[in-house]
Amino acid sequence: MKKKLLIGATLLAILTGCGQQPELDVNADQNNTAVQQSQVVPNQAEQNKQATEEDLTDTTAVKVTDESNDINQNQQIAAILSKNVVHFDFDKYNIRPDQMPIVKAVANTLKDIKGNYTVRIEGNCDEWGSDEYNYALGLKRAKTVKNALVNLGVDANKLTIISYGESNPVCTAHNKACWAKNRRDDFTLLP
Amino acid sequence: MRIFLLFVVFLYLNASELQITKYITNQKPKIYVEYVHSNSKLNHMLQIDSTIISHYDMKIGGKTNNLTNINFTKYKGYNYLLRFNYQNKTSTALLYNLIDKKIELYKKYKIPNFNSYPFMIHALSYDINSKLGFEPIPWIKRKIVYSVNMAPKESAIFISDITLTYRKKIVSGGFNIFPKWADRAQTEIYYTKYLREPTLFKYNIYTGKKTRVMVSSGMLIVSDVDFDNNKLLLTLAPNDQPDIYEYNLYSKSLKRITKYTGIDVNGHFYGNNILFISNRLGNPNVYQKNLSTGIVKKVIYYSKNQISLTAYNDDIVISSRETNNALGNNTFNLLLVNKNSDDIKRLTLGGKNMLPVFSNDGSTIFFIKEYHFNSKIGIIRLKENKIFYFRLSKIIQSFDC
Repeated sequence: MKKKLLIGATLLAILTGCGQQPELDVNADQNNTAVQQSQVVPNQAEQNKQATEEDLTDTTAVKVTDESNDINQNQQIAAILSKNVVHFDFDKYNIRPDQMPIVKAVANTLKDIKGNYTVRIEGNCDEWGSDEYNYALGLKRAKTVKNALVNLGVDANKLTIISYGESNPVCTAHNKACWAKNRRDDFTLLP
Repeated sequence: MRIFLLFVVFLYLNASELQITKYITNQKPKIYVEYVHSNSKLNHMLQIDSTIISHYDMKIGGKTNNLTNINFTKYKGYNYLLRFNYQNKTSTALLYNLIDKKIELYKKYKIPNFNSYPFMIHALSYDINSKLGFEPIPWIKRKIVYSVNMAPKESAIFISDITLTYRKKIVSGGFNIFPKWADRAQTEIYYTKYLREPTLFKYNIYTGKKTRVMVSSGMLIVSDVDFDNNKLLLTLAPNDQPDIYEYNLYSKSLKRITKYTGIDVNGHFYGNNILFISNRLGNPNVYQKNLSTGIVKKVIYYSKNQISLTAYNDDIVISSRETNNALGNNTFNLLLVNKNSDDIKRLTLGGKNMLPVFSNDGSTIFFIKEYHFNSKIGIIRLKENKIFYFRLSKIIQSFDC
C-alpha cells in the first residue's frame, strides 16, 4: 500500500513539473517563427542594408584579382631575367660584342614591365685575384651593364648594382670552363 | 681528432742575394720540458710554438711527479728546464736556469675551458721567449679573425689562435665578409653583411653587442683601421664607383680619398700617405696618395699585377700575380720591398699567396695560401727566414690578425 502511494506521489510530481515546461517551449518556438517570417518578407530598411553589403563585396574581389596578376607578372619577369647572364673576359669589365644581344634582350624585358620595379645587377668574378680587388672588378662589371641598359632606354632609377666578388660561383671546379662561367653578371628582380 | 700540419719552408731569396742562416745549432738555447699532467695536446702545442718562434730549441721529455724536486745532473747539455702542469683550467709553469741554478719564470695561466688551451700555451711561449732575452713576440698571442665561404652568398666569421687549433664561430647566417679588428686589444671587429645593401657592423666578440655603422650600395669593405682606432679606410661605391674613403669614427664624417673612374681598393694608412691598389695604368698596381699635396704616384715598378698589400714602417709586402693565364692556373707570390732600397725579396715561390698582413711589431707576416678547395694560414718569420703553414679545410674569404 505504501509502495503504491509513493509511486503515485512520484508520478504526480513529474506530471506537475512537466506541466510548467511546455509554456517555455511554446514561447521559444514563437520567437523562431517570427525570425523566419521576417527573413522571408524583409521590410524596406533591411532591403537597403543588403544592397550596401553587395557593393563592399565587389570592391574586395577586384583587389584580389589585381594582386595575383602582379605576382604572376613578377614571377615571369624574374624567370626571364634569371636566364640572361652576361659573361666577361679574364680580368676585364667591358661588354664583349657577343654578349651585347643578351644586354639588349634584358633591356627589352625591362622596358616592357608596367609599374614599379627594381632590378639588381650582380657582378661576379672567377677565383683569380685578391678578394677585395675582385669585389671592385665585379662591381665594375655590374656598372658597365647598368650603363649599357640605361643607354638602351631603361630607367636608371630602377636599376641597382652589387658585387659578390668570387663568393658566388655557379661552378666550383678548378678549370677554364668553370672560371669562364663565373665571370658574369646576373639579374635579380627585387621584391 | 683535429689534426693540422706544420710545414717549414726556408725562404727563397733573390739570386743576387746571398744570405747565411743566422743560427748555428749549438748557439740556440736548449730547453728540456717535463710535465706533471698527462695531456699530450699541451706538449704538442708547446713544441709547435718553439718551432715557429725559432729562437730556442725545445725537447719534450717525460712525465715528472712534481714541479720543484730537481736533479740538476740529469739535464746535461740543456740550458733551461721547463716544468709545467695543467689542472682545473690552470697551468703552472716553472722555468729553471740550469746554468745559474735559478728560477727564471714561475707563473700560473688560467683559462675558461680546456678548448682555450692554445692561447694558454702561446702565453707561456711568449713569456719563455722574453725570459730568455729575445725580442718580444706579441703576435703569438694574437687572435685571428677570418671569414669562410660556406656556400654561394653565405659565409661565417670565426676567431682562432694563430695555429687555427682553437676555432669558434662568432657570426653566422647570411653573407658576412671582410672581418677586421676594430681595436688593438682585439675586443671588437668590423665586418660587412649583405642585407638589401652591403651594411657595415661593429661586433663585440665578448658581449655579442652588434652596432650598425653605415650602409653603402655596391660594395663596402673596411681595408684598414688607423693606429688610434679613430679612422677607417673603406672601399665604398655610393655612386656605383669603387673608391677609397676615410671615415672618422668620432665626427662620423666621410672623406673621399680617390676619384679615379676605374678601380681603387685596399687602402692602407702609411704616414702622411695612403697606399692603395689601382688599375689606373691598365693593371692593378700599388700607388700612394700624399694627403697634403694630393699627388698620386706609383710605388712599385716590379711586376704588372699587384693585387693586395700590407705595410709596416718602410716595408711593403705585395701579392703579385706573376702569370696572366685565363685558361690555366696563375701564380701569386708575395714580394717584400723597402721604400729606401731597390731590392725586392721574394717571400713565396709558387701557388696562390694572397692577403698579406704585417704583425703589429712588423716582425712577422701572415697571409693566405689557397690550393684546391683548402686554405692555409701562412706565417713568415722575416728575420728567421722561415715560413710555417696551418691548414684549414675551407676557403678563407678574408682575415685579420
